[in-house]
Amino acid sequence: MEQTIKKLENIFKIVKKEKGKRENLNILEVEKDSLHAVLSYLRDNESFKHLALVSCVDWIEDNKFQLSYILWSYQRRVNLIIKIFIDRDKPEFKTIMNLFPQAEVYEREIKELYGVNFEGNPTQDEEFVLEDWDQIPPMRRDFDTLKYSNEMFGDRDSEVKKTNIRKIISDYTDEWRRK
Amino acid sequence: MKEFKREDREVKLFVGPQHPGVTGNMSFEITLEGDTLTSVKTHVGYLHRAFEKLMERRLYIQNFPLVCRICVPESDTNEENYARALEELAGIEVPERAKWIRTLVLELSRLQMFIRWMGGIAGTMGLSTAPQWAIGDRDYILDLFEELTGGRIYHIYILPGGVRRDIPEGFEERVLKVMDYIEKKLPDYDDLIFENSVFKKRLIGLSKLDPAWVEEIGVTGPVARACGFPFDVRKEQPYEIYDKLDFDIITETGCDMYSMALVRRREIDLSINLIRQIIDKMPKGEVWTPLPNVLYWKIPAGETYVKTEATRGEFGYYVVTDGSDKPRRIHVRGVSTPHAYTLLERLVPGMNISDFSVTIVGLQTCPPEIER
Amino acid sequence: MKDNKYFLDDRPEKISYSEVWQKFFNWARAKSLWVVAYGTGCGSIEIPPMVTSRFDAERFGVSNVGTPRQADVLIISGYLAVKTLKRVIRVYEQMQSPKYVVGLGACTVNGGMYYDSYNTVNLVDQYVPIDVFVAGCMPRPEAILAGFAQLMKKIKEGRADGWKQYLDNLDKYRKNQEKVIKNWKIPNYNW
Repeated sequence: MEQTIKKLENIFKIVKKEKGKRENLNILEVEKDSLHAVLSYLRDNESFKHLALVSCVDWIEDNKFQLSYILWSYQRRVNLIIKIFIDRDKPEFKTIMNLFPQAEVYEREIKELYGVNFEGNPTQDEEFVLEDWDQIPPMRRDFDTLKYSNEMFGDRDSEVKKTNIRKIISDYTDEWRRK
Repeated sequence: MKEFKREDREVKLFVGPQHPGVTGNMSFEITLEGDTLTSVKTHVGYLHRAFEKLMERRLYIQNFPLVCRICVPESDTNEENYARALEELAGIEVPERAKWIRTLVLELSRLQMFIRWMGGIAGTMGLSTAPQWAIGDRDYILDLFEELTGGRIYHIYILPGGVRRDIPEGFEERVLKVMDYIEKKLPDYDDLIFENSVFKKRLIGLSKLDPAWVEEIGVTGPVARACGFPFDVRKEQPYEIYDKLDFDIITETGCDMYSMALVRRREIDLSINLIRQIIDKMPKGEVWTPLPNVLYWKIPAGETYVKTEATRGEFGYYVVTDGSDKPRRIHVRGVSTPHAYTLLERLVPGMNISDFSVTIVGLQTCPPEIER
Repeated sequence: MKDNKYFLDDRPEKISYSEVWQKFFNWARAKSLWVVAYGTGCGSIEIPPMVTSRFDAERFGVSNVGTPRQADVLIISGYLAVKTLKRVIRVYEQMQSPKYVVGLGACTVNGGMYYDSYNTVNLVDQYVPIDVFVAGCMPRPEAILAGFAQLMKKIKEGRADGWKQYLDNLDKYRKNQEKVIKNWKIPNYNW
């Protein structure tokens, strides 16, 4: 695996190398312009043919979205996570559908839940899991799901609510945590 | 004379979510020409509970009741995956015996899922005797789970650092007894389902895949193994104690629905074999490494991707932590996502409408893991 | 939607019978409850064990049927996502009166563990009238059968009148439904 990373370093610029906690897991951060080239190089020359997942992480403190592409090589039995960072204010990136067809669905999901626009994906604007959603994309960190749920769906107006059982439980757990 | 265009001959039909032929709560928009399908569009989201959002709001240990509900019929895979991800990030060692018990639970869970599937596919084709048998036989395994963990479906038995408690006295004998019973029943299932001429006639050649798609789309599990690809996470990247067990990867070469069914049928034999091996070799010892106070448990920053062989294929958890007491991001790789979208879209053109629901059950799509 | 001729927009009428007939009907209705096969949530995993050989709900007259037109009971098996809620309302309104609804699981009572989720409704009985709640997550087949026994008792006593209340308070229910379902594209009443 070290040889592959060295080869990659010779061709592309690798921003950051991390060793995973496991033996066969490596995490590489690359520049976002070179991602397509890195993925197609890994797929064609280094047998990383299986794209397991495309994921997105919201780093609201740094005002960035992290896109992770998890690859697996059947021959070498190695997991590789390629990650890039994109600007949170202008969440745009290009699709990788031409390299891995199944990325279409994952990108559609990220578009809906995080609002990242994937240029070139024909189905990304269709509704995936939500219907008639009019708030900010729900998986962003600044979306308060409890507040929305209370406003939208309410709670039962009963004795249980008057005693506010949830507050009692949370007070109790806080007390326990302080010990 | 009026000329008919192709669009005029096509009928759009909505299958589901309230439809007896659809597994779970999902819907399909199919286009028909006569009784031949021309295209399909999958719609999910009817079971979206926003697990990933809720998990970011809760402590690590509070997420265990949530994760087991991600794929309802096979909850242990989720628990094991999540627990293993946390162990890896926090650097917790699991005692040897706990690993063996975990594997036993995973195999029992796999076995009950395959038996349930066997009834499901036969029921979809109109063999209504098979679900009565299969779901009745599956209940013997659920009873074992109830004895071991206290719950029939949701167990919350596997926790970081081991398992919740040791297996009760005499449990091994009862497991073996159930295995003997199921093994005795399997020839009946073969006669009823897999040797049935109607079953064979309908499934042989149905939804034939091109083996090249397997690597291209990311197909895993029995669907990939039915095309001759020996992809099995239990061998590829042995987790828990699968490297100490003696087994071979099951493959078929037919690339069609009948080969997938045969792979799953042979997986039942394999599971029974593995459960016998586990009970035979299980060591004595501790089952639990004490954790720090779980309500105040912080995991150092990092990220990992762990995976398990679920009954449907590679089931993965991508966990990102940031050093606080709550996870930053948990993304679940639902196995069925490539199956229900990209693969189904390629399989469907030219298929007869009566084979459509058989295909969905045969691919073993599980909607809650697609949308979570 | 008004000028769409495919839908009948009128609301259903109520027909009242004399008390003797009413009692006879209630007795007969309690003996055969057909459940529409719609697994709306994870509670549907315990429905197959309930209707197959081990727990055998058919001895109580409870059996599965594929279409809402022939069904008497709708089981809301767990949490309802907003997207499912719309379909559940359609299925419920398509069922012929008298019709009964059973809510399975803690999440139909008050949201359960999904109380803070943005996509699941917390109080299902605000949108669809529910006759019997079965608590638990998830309820065992025995618990579901006990719920059905309770429902039969209620029907025999003439207290299972959720469908009547739904017609009486249709405006109130519609207001609640339209608050959650933002794009209301279905007719006034789904026949």
